[in-house]
Amino acid sequence: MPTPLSNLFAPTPFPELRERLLRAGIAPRHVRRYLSELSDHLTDLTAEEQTRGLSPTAAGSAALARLGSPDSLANAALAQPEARSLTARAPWAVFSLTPLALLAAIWFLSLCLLRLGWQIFLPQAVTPFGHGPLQFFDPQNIYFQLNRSLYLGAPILVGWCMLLIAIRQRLSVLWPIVSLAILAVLAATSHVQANREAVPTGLGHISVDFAFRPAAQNEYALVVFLLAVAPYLLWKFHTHRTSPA
Amino acid sequence: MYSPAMAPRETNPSFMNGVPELLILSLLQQAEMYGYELVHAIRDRTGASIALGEGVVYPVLHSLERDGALTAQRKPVNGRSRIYYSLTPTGSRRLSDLTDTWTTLTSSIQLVLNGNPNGAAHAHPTL
Repeated sequence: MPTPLSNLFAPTPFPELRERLLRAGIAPRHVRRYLSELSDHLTDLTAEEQTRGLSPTAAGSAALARLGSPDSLANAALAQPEARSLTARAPWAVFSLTPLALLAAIWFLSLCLLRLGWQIFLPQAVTPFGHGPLQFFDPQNIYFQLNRSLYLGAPILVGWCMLLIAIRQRLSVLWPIVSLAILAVLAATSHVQANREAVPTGLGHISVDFAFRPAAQNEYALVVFLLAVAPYLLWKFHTHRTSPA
Repeated sequence: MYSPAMAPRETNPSFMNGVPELLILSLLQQAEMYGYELVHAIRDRTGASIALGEGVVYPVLHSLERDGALTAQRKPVNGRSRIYYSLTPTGSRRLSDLTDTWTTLTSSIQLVLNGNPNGAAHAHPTL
């Protein structure tokens, strides 16, 4: 029975090559494309060697040898500095500016939704905040609670994105920790205000200010930080347990 | 499993700087090709005198593509997806420059190898 090609190619040096290139800062998209083309090339070479009469195993070995040594394949890619990712070239910028931009974008969206909900559900109210106990399934309650979740969850969501980027590019955990610290401080110090009386035209005024306030703010920052970092810690724990000794 | 001992003897890398790029651009000027096809063409046209790890051609192709000298297009062929590379006008100009440089360089080296004492005077100073 012929050996399936997928089994034949399983023990290739590609996983090592992938790790080596990612750790050297080559952008994941370039690594993916390089390995995909190498894999196609290897398939063609193996088929060629088999037509010369080699057994599938011998053809696979000969094809790998023709493809190039792991060192030469890695060095050829590493000789292209423009293939390095922005994250590898300027991690300080990516991990400090990107979370700020993402958080600002999500918070802006949330505040727009707040303004819209205020207009739809509470057109006469001076402020959309503090409107008595509502039924859980009341559309107004669901709308404002979902929007509140978006606002409060944004720092955690952005933190997860930054951790994912760091894991994907095999970066030190130090950089996403910087992001998480920035996000936790912003989450704990931000305060949203909405008041129709503040602007004479009656359109309503929504603002966000940042200030250190006593007690609970520090605990909230810690909670945001821990919630953001929790999936990373679980992932590390899982990979540590499942990796061979 | 791969063993470095299986690798064929490769051409001295010190003499190969810029050569793959020149060969690739030259071959793609004639027709669009995918990586495996291109490596075959290099081997056939050079009489297998230039031996490279075949996989090292891809970073060179990607670099040329990033520089705008090549374009890459994925095409289905015989039930498989292939990435075909073709030369752009920028690539044609680059090939022309590289060909001039290479021709001048080889002529100059040939003069030295032939023992012509005035060879250096005939060589282009821009090299």
